[in-house]
Amino acid sequence: MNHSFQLSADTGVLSLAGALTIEHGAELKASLSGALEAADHIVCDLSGLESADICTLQLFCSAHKAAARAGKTLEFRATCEGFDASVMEAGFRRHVGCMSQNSADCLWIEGPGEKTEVAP
Amino acid sequence: MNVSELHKEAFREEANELLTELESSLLELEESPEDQEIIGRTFRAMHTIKGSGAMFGFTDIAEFTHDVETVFDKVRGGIMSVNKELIDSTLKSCDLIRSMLEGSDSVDEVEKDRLKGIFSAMSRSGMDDGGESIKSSAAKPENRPAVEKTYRIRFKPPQDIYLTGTDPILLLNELRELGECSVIAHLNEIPFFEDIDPEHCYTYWDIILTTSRDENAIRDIFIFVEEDSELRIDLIDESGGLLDEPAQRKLGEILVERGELTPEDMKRVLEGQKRFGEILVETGLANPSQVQAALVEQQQVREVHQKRQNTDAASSIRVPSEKLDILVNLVGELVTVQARLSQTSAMKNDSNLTLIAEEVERLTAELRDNTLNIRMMPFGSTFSKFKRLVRDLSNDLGKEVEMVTDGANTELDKTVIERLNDPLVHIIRNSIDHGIEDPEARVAAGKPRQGTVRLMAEHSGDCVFITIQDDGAGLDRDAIRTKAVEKRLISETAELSEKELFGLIFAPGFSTAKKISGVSGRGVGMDVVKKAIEALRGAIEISSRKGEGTTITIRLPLTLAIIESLLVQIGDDRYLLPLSFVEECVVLTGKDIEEAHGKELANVRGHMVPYIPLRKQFQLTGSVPGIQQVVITQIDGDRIGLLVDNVIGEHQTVIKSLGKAYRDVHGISGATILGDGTVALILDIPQLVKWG
Repeated sequence: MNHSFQLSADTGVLSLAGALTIEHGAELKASLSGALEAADHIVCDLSGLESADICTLQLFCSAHKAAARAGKTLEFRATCEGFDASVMEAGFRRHVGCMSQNSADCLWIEGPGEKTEVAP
Repeated sequence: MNVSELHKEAFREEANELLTELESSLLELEESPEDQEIIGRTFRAMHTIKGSGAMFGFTDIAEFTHDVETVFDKVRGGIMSVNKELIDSTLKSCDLIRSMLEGSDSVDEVEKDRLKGIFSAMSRSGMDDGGESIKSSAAKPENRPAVEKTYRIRFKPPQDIYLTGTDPILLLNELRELGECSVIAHLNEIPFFEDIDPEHCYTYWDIILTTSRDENAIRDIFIFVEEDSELRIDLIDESGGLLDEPAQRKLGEILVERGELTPEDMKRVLEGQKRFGEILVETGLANPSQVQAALVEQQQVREVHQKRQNTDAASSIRVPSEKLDILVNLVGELVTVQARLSQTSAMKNDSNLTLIAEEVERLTAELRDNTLNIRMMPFGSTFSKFKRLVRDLSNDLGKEVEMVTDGANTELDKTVIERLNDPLVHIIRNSIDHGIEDPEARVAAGKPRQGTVRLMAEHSGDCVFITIQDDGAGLDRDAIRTKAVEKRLISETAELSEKELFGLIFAPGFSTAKKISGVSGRGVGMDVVKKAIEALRGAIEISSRKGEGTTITIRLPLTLAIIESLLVQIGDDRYLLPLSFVEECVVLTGKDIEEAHGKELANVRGHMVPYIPLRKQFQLTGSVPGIQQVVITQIDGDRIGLLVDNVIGEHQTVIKSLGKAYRDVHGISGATILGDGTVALILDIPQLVKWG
């Protein structure tokens, strides 16, 4: 896993690359935790990501809940085919978000309101 | 060993067991090629090997097994039929997978490619165009329209599923291969960020699967994780029409199931209503006894299902044998300490202490028996291996041989069973190679074309008798005698009983085979067999009739950990004689010694029995008591005495092995710790007799 974090104004961009698996769980949690502390608006740039396992998706989900609870935002930018395939395979894609937050803000929502864009 | 290596080792162990099961199923399948239960068992074993192979990094095994599994899946679906080629190739695949488990060095790559080619071709085409079919009428796919069913699957894995090496996404993808599949992950149990353990799985899934496969195929996917997971599979739709049960489900149940009504609200509403049975009775549509009978049936079926589920869940657990070995060792220590406690309490003459000591003695005995019982395995667990051996050997030698087994439930200590394998392989090989004649020779001799090798096991007291019997040509006495003279084992004029003559077969390097075959006849084997059996504190006997066959009988102790023995004394030292060899004890006075005129013979009820004076044998000094004891033993049918100072009595002996330095000392097989803390040596009676 390769990662970098860039902060400009109140937006922090966390760029992640490679295949994210359980082995990188602790490292990813630390990166997300740092980003949540440093910025109000966190953007995860996933254009270099090859794939993600359940542990990784859960961490994103949990970080997203933490951001919402703290009045911050966390969103994905430029996901890639590998990552989208992982989300689909894991059954995380949905029409309605979880009830603990604003449904439309969910990381896993698909359809017209989809917030993610696919990297070329 | 790290976690990954531990998992790999566990897989190797499990895969070896599965391969044994698989061989057994294949041999059964050869007899009953249409038995769906056996076909299912064979497929599941292959599927398990493939699945766990992939999971634990044995990708070569997973890849190799894939085509074999595909073929058996087709057999299971009635698309292919079982034939001899399939059985042969799958048995050979079992051997190959075993070698793959051992490591890449031992894998025959040529054989691997050959088998891969065979299974790949079979899985692509179906086999009815080649090979002699065992199955008479395989159902063809076109005759069996696929029935599509829709299942609702709730899969909630344990949080530590990743630590067991399983990736839930792989399981979901396997489900997708079965048919149209919608997967919804439930994320509500994912904790807040500060509490989340990045290595745990908090997600669970609802999967709606429409497939032509049955529930077993779905369960097969979860075979490794089902035990620790919440797995619920409900058939919710069949062939486009709703099932009877959901169709009859009540409105309230559907609303509760959908989460739109709470069970409490439903109960409150229903309590205000009359029960269905009451309405039926009131309207005269059923009488009270009919309603009552239906309710009893409903209740009973529910209880039976519940009981069966509970029994299945609690039927067995898997424990590594090393843990059992540790337990047996601890029980051994406990037995020793208990003996000391009993001895101390007897010396103190304290009634309270005696009561406690007696209670400990009773409990220790129960614990000992139960612990040793855990190590017991049915001898039948080895049968499939020997059936396979007979099948392969008879094919190689162009003979027709059937193996008949009996006493599958006879139990023996796990170690004894393991160490019995090589001797039995030698004996069975000899039976088929030298004993059973060619089919033509058998017919000419008025025998059935097919020879029979019987492998039987039965309990008798504290021993188990294993018998290997063939209906072959029997031993040729003249050939044995000629060979023995040639090898200078006996003189030309020696007069030998039948038993002594047959006993020569166990001499090192003895073989009467006219030519050396790949199967046997190198003259190594029967002496090794005898040594191996004696190392297990067992005995081997042979009997034979020319033209009728040969019977080899092996007597073995039930266990190797704790034995009943006779405690004897010579000078200040004490020794133990395994009770299984002891026949009786007789007194030997100074007068008896005088009457024997210097010969070491004891007069036992008019029969002279030779004895070995152990004091002399062990070069012990000190004064000899006026009255000594001769412990009469029986070795290979001969009665031989062992002269000791005194017989103390029976003793429960926990066997401790001797260190490397004492391994080559003749006549001693181990040691034990007595109640007073001193060490007593366990005598190896067959070796002592040979040495004496």
